Amino acid sequence: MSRDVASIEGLSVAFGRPPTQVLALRSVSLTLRAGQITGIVGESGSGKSTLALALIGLLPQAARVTEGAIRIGNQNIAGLPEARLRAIRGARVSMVFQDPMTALSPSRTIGGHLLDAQHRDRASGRSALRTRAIEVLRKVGVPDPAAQLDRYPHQLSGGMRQRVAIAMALLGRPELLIADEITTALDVTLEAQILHLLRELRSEIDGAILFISHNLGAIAEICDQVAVFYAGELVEEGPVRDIFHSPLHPYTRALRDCDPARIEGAARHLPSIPGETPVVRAPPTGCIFAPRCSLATELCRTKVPVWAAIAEGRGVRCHLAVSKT
Amino acid sequence: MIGYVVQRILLSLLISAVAMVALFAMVRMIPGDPVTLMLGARATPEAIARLNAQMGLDQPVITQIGLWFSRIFSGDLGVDIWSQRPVVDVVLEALPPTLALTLAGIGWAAALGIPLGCYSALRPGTFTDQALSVVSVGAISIPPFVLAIYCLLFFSVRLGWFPVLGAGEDGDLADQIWHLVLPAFAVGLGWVGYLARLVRGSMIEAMGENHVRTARAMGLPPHRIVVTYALRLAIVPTVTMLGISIGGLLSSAVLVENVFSRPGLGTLIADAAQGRNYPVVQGGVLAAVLLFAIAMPISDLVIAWLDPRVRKSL
Repeated sequence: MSRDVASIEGLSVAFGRPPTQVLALRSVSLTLRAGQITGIVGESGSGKSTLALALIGLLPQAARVTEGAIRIGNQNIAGLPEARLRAIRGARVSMVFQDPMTALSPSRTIGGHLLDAQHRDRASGRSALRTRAIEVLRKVGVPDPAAQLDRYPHQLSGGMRQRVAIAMALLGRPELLIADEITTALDVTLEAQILHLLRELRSEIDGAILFISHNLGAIAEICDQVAVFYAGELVEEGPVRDIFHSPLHPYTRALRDCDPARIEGAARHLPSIPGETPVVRAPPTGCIFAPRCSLATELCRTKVPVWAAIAEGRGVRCHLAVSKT
Repeated sequence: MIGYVVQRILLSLLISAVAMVALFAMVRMIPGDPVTLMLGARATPEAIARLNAQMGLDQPVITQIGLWFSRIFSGDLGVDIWSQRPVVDVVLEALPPTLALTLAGIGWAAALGIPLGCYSALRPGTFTDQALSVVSVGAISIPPFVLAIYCLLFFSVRLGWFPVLGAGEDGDLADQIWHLVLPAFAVGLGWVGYLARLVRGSMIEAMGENHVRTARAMGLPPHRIVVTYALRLAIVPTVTMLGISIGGLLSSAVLVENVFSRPGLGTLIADAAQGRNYPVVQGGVLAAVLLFAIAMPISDLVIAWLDPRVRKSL
């Protein structure tokens, strides 16, 4: 098994204070390994983005880590002061965000962004930084990179801007690269290109990639390991084949069955999971998915299921799945 | 870009022309006949007719406007009734001190207002933020001439830190700057409040922008994030506001000039108006109108420099 780059241990994050607080993440444990792409899948509000922000030390002020650890290498960054977190951001952990149209400053050139991304290497001189920026732009598939440096973001297409954002993330030579819904705003062709690029980067960067998406097709295509989130909990984790071919949690199965790409022949309606993701304000008293689960029993509604580790990197949080195995 | 500049300059010229027609009409509406005023009540009808013809007052109004415009465009604003010097010279003499005072006032307003606005925006809702907003509204509410009098009393008369009157020795730049500090502060302080409120609002918005989050994710130091990523765009509404408010700034400057007995457009126009020295009044107001008209294209150019997307749409 390869080196652990980052790990989340029993992490709980809450926004605000009771009684209006939101328990955005509850007892989540996850390990990210070098050379692997870990996919995180879940509906809106499942805690995917909170997890990403926690890993890069960018949780908003209203958020509190109520328990657990966020380890980057051997360092626990949970609760570190801003100045110490800043040393992590863009150096050990980099992040690419969802919307390439707004993620770059309209008043700064591409070159300016790429120089800023190397602000810690300023000592090596402007021309060296410039050369490296061109090199990384070429690596992420930006045509005629030298000419792009003097252009402004609004002069580039969405796909190009996202490549620039990826280049910026790579320039800090991170151990962990977080890609938060980076293909959601792009069309299908561009999405395929960006996915292809990420897969190439996996072998090139000496670190881990965390790929957050609600597109199961994209997850299946590039991830090695998949973690399924629901309402702030990690409900199932496993290698990508297992998650798609032998899912254990009813939610994972339901998600897979709702993927439009799986529908064969003409269908009148898109399948969907009845009900909505709950906003969790108090610790649940049963399985959080029970109200939407077609298989839920009395046990599911009254007892909180614990995380059951089935194998290395394979686990599930479900009474029924555990009793079956 | 060049087309844009030309377009803005043409617009300014149009504004100036309209203002000039209004100015012409206003001077005409003031009761009293300039010729009788100049020659006195006992002038002979021949002398009156001669002077009327000489000044073009016997022509139809449209012709007079045309004549006036053509004279202005050839740089002739008439003659100062008292000193018999060309009005152009008199106005050009008074312009630099007023311009310096107005710009220094903007300087004070920006130097205090922008940092205060940023400071508040970075900690919205805190005690400091609320205290600063009370102070801002207070600063907006003090009329500049009142402030000028108190500044004069306290800093110049009581403490003796700054000179009391005048604009300083000719050719002695340091002395002139020293004479400028206090009046400029009086002009600028009211605008500190406006600027702080405006910058605070747009900075709070800017700090929530996605590109600021990107900058934070790079681990850039806070001052770089604030200045390079947030403030550069957050300052745009403030620049627009300053461009539009140049009229208000000029009128503050005019009042403050009087308190500090500084030479300048304000003193010039006030004295000329009291003495019915119409050519000088017209020339002075025209200079103010032109200043106002060029302030807007300048602020537009600054905005285009700050936000490249504006350049694209030009």
